[in-house]
Amino acid sequence: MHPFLDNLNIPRRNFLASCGMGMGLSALAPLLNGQKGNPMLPKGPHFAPKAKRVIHLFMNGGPSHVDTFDPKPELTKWHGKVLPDENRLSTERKTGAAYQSPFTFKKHGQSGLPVSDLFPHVAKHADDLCVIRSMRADVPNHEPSLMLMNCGEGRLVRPSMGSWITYGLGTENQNLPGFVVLCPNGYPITETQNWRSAFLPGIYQGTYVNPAQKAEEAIIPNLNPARSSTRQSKQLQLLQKLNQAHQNTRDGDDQLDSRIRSFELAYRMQMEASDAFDITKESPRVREMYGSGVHAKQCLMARRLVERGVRFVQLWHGKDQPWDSHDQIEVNHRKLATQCDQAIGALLQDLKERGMLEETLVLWGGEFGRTPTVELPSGSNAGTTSGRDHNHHGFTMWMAGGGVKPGYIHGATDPFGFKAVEDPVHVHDLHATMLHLLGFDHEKLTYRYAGRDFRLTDVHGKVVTPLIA
Amino acid sequence: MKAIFQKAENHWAFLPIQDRKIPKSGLHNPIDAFVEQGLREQSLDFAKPANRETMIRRLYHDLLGLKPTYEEIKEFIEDTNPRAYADLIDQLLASPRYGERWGRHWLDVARYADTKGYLAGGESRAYPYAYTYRDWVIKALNNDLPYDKFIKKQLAADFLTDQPNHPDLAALGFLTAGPVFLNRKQLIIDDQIDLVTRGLMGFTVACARCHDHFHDPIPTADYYSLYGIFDASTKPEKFPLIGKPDENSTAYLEFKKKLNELQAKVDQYLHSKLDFAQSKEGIKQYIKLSLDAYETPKNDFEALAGKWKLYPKLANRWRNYLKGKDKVEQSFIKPLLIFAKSTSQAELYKQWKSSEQADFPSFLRKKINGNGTAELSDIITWYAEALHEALIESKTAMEKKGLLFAVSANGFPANIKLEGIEKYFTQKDRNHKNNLRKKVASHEATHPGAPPRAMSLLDKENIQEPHVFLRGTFGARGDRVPRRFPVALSPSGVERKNYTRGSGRLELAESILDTSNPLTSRVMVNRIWKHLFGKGIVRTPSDFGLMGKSPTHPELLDHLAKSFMKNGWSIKKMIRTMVLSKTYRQETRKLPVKDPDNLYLSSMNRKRLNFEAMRDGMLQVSEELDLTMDGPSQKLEIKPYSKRRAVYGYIDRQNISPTLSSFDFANPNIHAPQRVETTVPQQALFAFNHPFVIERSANLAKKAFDSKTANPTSQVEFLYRQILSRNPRKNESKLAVNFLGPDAKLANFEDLAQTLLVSNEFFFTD
Repeated sequence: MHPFLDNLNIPRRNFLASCGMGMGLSALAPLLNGQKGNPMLPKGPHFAPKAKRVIHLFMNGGPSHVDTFDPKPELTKWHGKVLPDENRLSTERKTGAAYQSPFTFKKHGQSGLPVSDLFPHVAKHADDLCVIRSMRADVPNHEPSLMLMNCGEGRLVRPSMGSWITYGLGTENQNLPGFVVLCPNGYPITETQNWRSAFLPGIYQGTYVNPAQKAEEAIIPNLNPARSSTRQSKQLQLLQKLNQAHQNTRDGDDQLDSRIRSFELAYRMQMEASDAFDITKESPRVREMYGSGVHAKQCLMARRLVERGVRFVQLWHGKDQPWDSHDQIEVNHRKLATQCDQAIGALLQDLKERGMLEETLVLWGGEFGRTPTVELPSGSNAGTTSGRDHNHHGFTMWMAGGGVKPGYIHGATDPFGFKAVEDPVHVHDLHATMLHLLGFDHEKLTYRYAGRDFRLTDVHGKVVTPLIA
Repeated sequence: MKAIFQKAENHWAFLPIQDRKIPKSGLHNPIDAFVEQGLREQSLDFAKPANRETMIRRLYHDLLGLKPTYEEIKEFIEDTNPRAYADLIDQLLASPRYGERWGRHWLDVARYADTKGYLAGGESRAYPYAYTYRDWVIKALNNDLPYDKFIKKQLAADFLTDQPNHPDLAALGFLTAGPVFLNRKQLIIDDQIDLVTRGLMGFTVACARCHDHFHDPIPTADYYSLYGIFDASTKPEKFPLIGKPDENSTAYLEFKKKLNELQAKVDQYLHSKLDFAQSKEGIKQYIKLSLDAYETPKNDFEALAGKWKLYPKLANRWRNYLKGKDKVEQSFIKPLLIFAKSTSQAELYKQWKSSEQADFPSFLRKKINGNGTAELSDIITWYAEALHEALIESKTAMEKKGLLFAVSANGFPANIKLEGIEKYFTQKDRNHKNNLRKKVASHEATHPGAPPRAMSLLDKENIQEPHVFLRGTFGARGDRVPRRFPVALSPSGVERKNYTRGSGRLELAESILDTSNPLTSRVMVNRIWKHLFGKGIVRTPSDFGLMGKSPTHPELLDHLAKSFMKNGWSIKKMIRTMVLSKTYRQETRKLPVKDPDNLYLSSMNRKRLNFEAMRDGMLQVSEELDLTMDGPSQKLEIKPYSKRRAVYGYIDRQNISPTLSSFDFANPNIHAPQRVETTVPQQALFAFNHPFVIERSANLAKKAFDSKTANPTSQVEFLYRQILSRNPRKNESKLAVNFLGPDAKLANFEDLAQTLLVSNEFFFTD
């Protein structure tokens, strides 16, 4: 607790003084009374949720499913040969013959879930993974597919999933943003549209954080105190006295009270938010488990954030579209997986050790997968035939924790991995299922705007019950 | 659909606006009579009139978005003239600051921004001239341009003038400065339909793109009737100049000089690429590659071209060209092809030398005469040389015969115009070119010397009736529909008129503004009401349909809508009537239990400053506000901070600044019905730590610190007068003096000034 808060001579000092770090929702409740203007207050969903928070590991660019979680021995047999006509599908660019995976798959855990040698650390948690091998999106282009994955609509201006979820649930720690987006050194393709709030109030928009930034730089805007804490605490005391006097003659106006409270919250946020992003506070054992580099840093930040009550953390592999391996997939996918595998494995381990995985829904995947056929050279990969094109017909995502069925494989692509053929799960269905896990009927989490009620799944989406434990 | 039409038949908003009987009352302003009636029915009463100090603060906030100074308040309180209040209203409405405040309200409706939104591949996102629309709006409001003309010009200014450079053309920015959705026409038009129907009529037509509206009487056919109007309109090649630049001003000369430099860089780049494609060396390589890999499959051939650092698509054209010539009997290039295919080239060459080759082009004959032996590469070189020279000559030659004729043909691969080379570019070249173009656009967008242009719109030459797109899928054509107004808003019993004048935009504007249209006037008076009273009579200002909220005072709304039209659609007159009312002049007070949302207006709603008013207010009280009007937008969040009003700030549609969005700024990607009001700690963090606030505090502190009457009490008084426009009360003075402490340093004054600047008293208006 901060010593200053104890000395704050205003009527609310009692509960403020009882307001420690990392405290649960019930203890916060009194703090939140009289905060009617604050739309981030925790709210209950439609029914008892299995998951309370989400970490979305976005492998932007589109990781190849046949090289990671969807082994296709047939591809080895057909390597270099043109696939049968009925298995050849069109994607963004032209592709040629079947292209076998340069990576080796092994079965892991009791479930025997196959994972390629790209993800040895994630593979250790095979028995926690719920792998959807039959994902489908609409088109083989990055921009609309990113929008579909994040906002449930490829082209029109719609709020992102993180915005919908914070709109529906609020957030449990008012000292931190409810929806945090981590992406090292810049934005992904389509930039801030990926976490926009569109017609929902602006406060539900994701707060972008560059995890590669040094801790002493402002992590979120205006977070670093402009004055010493002695000066600022004196200012706050005076401010609250003035505001209190102002309010005394203006009885019963929630807006005034909310704003008074927002300064107390902001003051605390300066300390707590910086603290949440400061991974040097972790033990050496934990730091070592995550490894080094920016991916370790951002995975660890993600855990610290959800631990403190942040509702939705979206973590991007990197700016632009790193997983977009149109050529040299062996080299590129190897490099990318090496960058993040240990950190993702550690994140799962860490959440488990802290008993948080049960209520934390972890989602891994890209905006689509990649073709089982080799991309023919043109444009950016002129002269090479060692990569794969985008594939929206079928791809893999996995979830863990948050009430999903562990050690489970759902659906299947055709023998080559081109198209989801068994129990296909459209992105809308994934959204419906995620909202279900969070306690929402996806058809009822709506916002009235422009003459109708809008929702994340628009007029689509079915909850995929087999995915739920 | 039929059921919805039946339901809509009696929906208040689709019924004609009626002359409502003013309730009997001792109050002469009809607004008060209607409000009084509502209050009586609820056994409620008006609050006391607010005092003069409150009223002048309220008026400054509502009409100008600024704060009255200490002196202005004092003068108003002391003014004994019974007309003082009315005079003050007139004075404020005449201030240019009025247009800035209310212009910003309109820019929310118009989803105004200075950029196009997301675009890939380094394409320029700037709207260099969006600001001319903003300036037009501000000016129109300051001149009290009647609302019907205001709208007509924004939809159809090009119909209303013959002058190609009329300043009113800037009004069309309303339609043209929207998001571009990766240049998808269908979505751009969808946005325009949404803007026009919801923004001007509270009518949610965009819902009917894929299917008949589920809740409102809008069949899909009506959507496409409007679609056809906008599809028949297009942006001109280059936006028209609407103001003469001051040709001798340093700013303009600087602008022009730099523009030429930047433009030259684009041209130079294109030339460098074109020159190579037309050079001897270039032509030689393309021919050589084509002949080398004459039968290689297309994909591999293009890949090979990439390795040779040639443009794959141009190489392809060359090879196709040669193959084409291969098939014909006679061609100037036939000898080359025959030679290339020959298995005994040395023999063949001897043969060529041994007899006159009459059908060979003359240059080739000459070369053969002069060379004892030659290999394929020599012959390619000869051809390349000759073709290159012919290309150059053909540019000026009057008569084109032989080789000149051949290279001037459209099918000749190296016959490329300067712009034409772009289509062969690799991604890398394209990015490079886009970057150069972006520098031109950004220069035009940001340089203060750039002459203003209107983001105008024109009718297309060939106008066709639109097709319905089945299920909203672009290209899935259903029936054709005429361009005309939605059925639900057209007078019943009369055949709907099809639009025939050009695109029909002017006719659309006329239908929107027809006095029989039940929505337009109601929607606008409701917007005005909302800005003055804090909440609308209809609380969903852009949805008057079946899913919208009902009016709290339907008769009052009708009365206002009627008188708005009767008074020549004057916005200023409407504001004046509203702020003169007793209803407006009430105190704010605690709301009665039975009316917690103040639906019946038993007091005034307290208002908080929006981002612009807060920022402008801070600059104003530190005496730094720069009242320059017009011109290119200013980036507000980079140092040194612009001191101009926030309405002149640069708005990036794609990446809206976190500061703006945490202060509930209207999202410019879609028409914003009204701003939501949230209170979140991010706003307080801005107040605590943003360098903009820190700077204003420092400037105020310095003034207090340096003032001649340097004793703490008078310094505190100075800061109170400056920031809160009043004297401190005794206890406040004591508190502040204590806060400063003995021997107060500049830093103590900074802290005090900042505290007052971010106080609730500064941030709310009673």
